[in-house]
Amino acid sequence: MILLKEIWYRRWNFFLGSLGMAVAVTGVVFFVIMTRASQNETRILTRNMGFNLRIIPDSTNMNEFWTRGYSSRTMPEKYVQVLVDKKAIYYAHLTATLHQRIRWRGMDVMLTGISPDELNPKGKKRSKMIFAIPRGKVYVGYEIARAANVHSGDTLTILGKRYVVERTLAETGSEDDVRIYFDLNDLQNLLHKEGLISEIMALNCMCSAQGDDPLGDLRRQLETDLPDARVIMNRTIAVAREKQRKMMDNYFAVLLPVLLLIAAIWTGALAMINVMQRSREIGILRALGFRGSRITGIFFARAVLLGLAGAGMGYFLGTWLAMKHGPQVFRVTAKAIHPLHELLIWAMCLAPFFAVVASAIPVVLAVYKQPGELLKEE
Amino acid sequence: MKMIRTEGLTKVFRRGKHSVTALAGVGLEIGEGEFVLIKGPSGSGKSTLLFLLGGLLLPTAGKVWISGHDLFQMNDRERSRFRGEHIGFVFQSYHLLPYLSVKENILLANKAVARKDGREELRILLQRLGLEEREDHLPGALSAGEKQRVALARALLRHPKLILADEPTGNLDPAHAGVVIRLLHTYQQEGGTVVMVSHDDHADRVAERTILMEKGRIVQ
Repeated sequence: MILLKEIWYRRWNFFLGSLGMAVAVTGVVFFVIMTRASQNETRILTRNMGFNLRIIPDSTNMNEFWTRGYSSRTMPEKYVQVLVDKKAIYYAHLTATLHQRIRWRGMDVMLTGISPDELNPKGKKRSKMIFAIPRGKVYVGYEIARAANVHSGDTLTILGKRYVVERTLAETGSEDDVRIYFDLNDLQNLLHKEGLISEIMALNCMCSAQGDDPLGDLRRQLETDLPDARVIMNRTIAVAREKQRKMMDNYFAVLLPVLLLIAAIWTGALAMINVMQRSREIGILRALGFRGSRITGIFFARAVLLGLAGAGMGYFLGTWLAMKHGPQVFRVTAKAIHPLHELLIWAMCLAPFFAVVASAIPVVLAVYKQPGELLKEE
Repeated sequence: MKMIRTEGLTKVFRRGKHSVTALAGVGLEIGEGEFVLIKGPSGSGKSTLLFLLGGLLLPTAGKVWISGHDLFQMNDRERSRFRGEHIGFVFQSYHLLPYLSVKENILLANKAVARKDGREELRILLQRLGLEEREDHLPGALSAGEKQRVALARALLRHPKLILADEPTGNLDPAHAGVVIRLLHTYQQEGGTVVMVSHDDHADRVAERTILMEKGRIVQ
């Protein structure tokens, strides 16, 4: 009764106290949601830099490979499934491709077949990294479409077979502008290379999960299962991506504890001020015969309520702010920014805890002070 | 039977490197049912003596017996309970909890020692002290005289053997001061013991004995 009466009587004081705590919780919740969004954004932006792993036939002439941009040799398409089944190999996406450079309408054109199914690790559904081309249709790169005056819906004859243009692609400023994309099986049939591929492209996380030589690790793992394959990693992209990720992780790891500490000190200071302002009341209760433990209980219960109120308000305020401003900052992952409900549980536990711990010092000091001293201190 | 007995009661307050002797070896006996007035100049140790008699301060040296119980032989918990059961306090600045109504402030005395709710005693006290119309009011809505009557009701609720009053009329006008002194006098005439620090003329008239203090000692 005393507790609730006091809270109601000093409701503005209680509200402002819990608002103070809410400010601290808001800061933490906002920061965590925005950081999570930032990490997602970084991951997706770095992922969009391209594949970081290329698996090509071991017999490839590397000089020719780097000059032409693809391997003219082939390997069995079933190698993709071998990778999928190999649990010791970690990857995010796998795509089998077949490449062939030809002369078409007076131009050097790269024909690229893409497997219709992008393979992801078992049990994990991921967003598409590249497009799937319908059978009997092609996607035409920007430069070829422009030079040959090709439009969506046109029919093209390539190496004697007819294909409908499903789409002409936007300019990329890369070799992709001189590609014509096929469904993998269509291109295999066209080139009479059924069941064969030139390359497996993979976005692989090995560089962060493995030791100093991820490429060496992967090569060793593949040696027995894919005897005719060679693994190439684009180290520049991989290193840049890893640095960016680590930077974000470090940022989070350093800032979060600092923010938590500030929030803890802030909530603690508020709880402490409240108790210190009420030391005379402790004296009155002691003079009336209330036991120290009972008075301590009353003050701790108030601190818990203050913490809970602050945590609730802070969670919803922080989440609202993050949901409102997050999508403006992180445009790529805007739709993936969502409330983190586990933060509510954490806030509901930690804010009352900090409030009680901070109250404990002045309450215990006051309760075990002689009541006469508290009454004389007014 | 002695209600209060003290022996060599000494209290030294320490503030950093400095120390102040508020009470220097006070020996005192007060009988059951007495009305004793303590007087003396400011800083003479009157309030300190009263707080020590109620166990609100710990003595630097000496002993206090209340109804034969050595107050400082008890641990803090026992002393709190003893205080709640047997001693009532009235302070100059009332010390009411501002968020509790008149009724709740008075009943707080019972809550401290987990007694039954005491609603019947409360009704009688409110009537006797002229507070029936005020029972649901908060202290902030009361006059000084009413606040002190509430504080007195809180002290009387448990029918304590002893009431210690520290300048209970210090903030009151003469008319209200007279009312408070009369109420304390009535309590004493019904068998209670009153020890009061006061400079009030009304108190002189009802007190059976006056103790004069100076520099932490009883001089008369």
